[in-house]
Amino acid sequence: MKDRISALVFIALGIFFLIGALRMPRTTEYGKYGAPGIVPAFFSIMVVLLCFIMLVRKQRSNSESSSTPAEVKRAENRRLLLASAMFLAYVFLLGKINFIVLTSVFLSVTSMVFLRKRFILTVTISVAVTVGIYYLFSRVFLLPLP
Amino acid sequence: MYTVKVFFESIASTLSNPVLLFHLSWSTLLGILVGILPGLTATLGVAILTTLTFGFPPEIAIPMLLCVYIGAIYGGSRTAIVLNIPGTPANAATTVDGFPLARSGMAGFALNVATIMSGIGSIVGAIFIVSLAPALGALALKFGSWEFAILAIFGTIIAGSLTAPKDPLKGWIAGFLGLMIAMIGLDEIVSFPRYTFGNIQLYGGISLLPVLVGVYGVPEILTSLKRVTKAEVVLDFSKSERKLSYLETIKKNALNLLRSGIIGVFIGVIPGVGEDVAAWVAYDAAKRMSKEPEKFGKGSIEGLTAAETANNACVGGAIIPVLTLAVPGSAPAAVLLAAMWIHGIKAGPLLPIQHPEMIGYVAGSFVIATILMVVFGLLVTRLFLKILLVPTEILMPIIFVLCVVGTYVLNGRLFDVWVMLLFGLLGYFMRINDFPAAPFVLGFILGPMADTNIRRALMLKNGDISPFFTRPISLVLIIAITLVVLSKYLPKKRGEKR
Repeated sequence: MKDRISALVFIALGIFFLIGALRMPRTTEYGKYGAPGIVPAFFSIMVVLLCFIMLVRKQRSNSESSSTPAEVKRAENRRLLLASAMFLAYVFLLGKINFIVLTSVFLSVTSMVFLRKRFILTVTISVAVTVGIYYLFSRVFLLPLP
Repeated sequence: MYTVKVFFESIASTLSNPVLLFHLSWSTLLGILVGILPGLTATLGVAILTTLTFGFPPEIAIPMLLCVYIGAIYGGSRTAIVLNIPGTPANAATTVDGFPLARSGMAGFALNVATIMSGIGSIVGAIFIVSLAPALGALALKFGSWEFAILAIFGTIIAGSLTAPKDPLKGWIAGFLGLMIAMIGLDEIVSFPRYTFGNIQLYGGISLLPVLVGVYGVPEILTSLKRVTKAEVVLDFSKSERKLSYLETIKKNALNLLRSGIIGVFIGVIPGVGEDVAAWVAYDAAKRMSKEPEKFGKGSIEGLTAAETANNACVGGAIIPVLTLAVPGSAPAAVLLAAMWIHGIKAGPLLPIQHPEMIGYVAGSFVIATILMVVFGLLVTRLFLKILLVPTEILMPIIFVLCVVGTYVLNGRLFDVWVMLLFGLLGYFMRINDFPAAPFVLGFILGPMADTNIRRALMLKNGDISPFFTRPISLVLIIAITLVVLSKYLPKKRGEKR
């Protein structure tokens, strides 16, 4: 089932790139073989073709995923969604809030949410690491920070 | 001969330059730390240091990146031995015998053996850079558009086969996905904007570093954070260890060392196939050739030696095609290639002509990095291992911030951070569905090379594709692709019929 879903996702992506390639100019000042769509069309056809083979072949059994208890799986998925949401929020707020403030809060909150203990230590480490990163990048190596 | 001369000169000049030695020392320590931390790979380490060394001259920045690369591949063995989790994918084979050795009260011995064998492996790699790279460079000068076009596809397919041995189809899909996504941006022949949708940020294409950091970093961070169960750490060196001589261990494993070193180098030379595959292949060869195969998996010094020698020798091998063909032999080598471009060094067939000193210089830096790695490895890594006691929940968000900052500083634009995140999610989707990341990244790197050379080859002969089959090097590569594909499917079909 997993293979079929990924095959369908990549086939859709391949078709999207193929349509884009077919819409590109067919000829250029270097003739028709210099056309920008030739190679993207070839690669997207290969993706579609290989994914189609995966879609129609005999499905392999996946014993590994079934061995994980449902309860553990649910807990893992919850943690995964939480982490993804926090990462997205951090990147979204970058540049809108001061780097030191945002990063200190992000590190503290993320660590606290996942660790659920040693709150004072977590906040101290988060602030110290943020200031360390800030000084290393912007003061020592003179690189711009968001 | 000139390369050998530069090789020795660069070693001597580095040893007599305290400023350079200082930078190389902290880079090596950083590399070892990166390797020790599960979730931080050599690729990520080299990528982050590439951004930090942006303003450094190339003669300092390139050796520093080599130090991080070598240090990280070695550092991963520390975690593999005491935690049973490879610090980097390159050390997966090390866990098989390293952790049983640690559990049997020989953690200290196993750590030191791995250090010494990694050092020997790296030296084998350096020797091959000096001897093989100039020869491959001379051969690369005979390459035309046909050979480069086929080489790009050959590299992607072979990387797909070797990194997904159970299901090569997924490896090939990953490779062609990488090649396809690399088509985004202005094309190199007529400057037509492909898949840009009017977005000016996409005109320059997608930068390599955000893709690498995303595909290798984000899935690792997400996987570590979502894990509910935690690993056992064996940090107890107080148990009385059986006294074994290191020299005797080296003597006993001389053949194993040589074989694993050579395997490591040659797997490294293959485009996109990195240290993890090298370690497994060498481990498998050592097991088959061993007089005591039953000890493998239960704490075999031979197994540990094979894995650790091969993965460090592979680093040298992976750099050879970077220098001579501009084709990375592994993912961290791909970042090294990007870093060379950033510093104005155009790797490829013309490198021996434009920068004749470069091959010898890189090999010399390689030796210095190895010496530093062994010295620090034997003296300070046990102290570094204490970092493993820091909870993953604190470490992983910090690593994520480093990924974000490292991606941002390269061009100073948030767009790259979003690209990193998007490719991180794609990388995670690929990981949970068992698609390997290496062929995807290699395809992404080789995409522009394939595009330009396929079209140039077609234009030169007015659409005639026969030179692909009549030019000797191109024909050899086509035969190799055919054999790789057939070898993965023909025996299975016969088996199924039975």
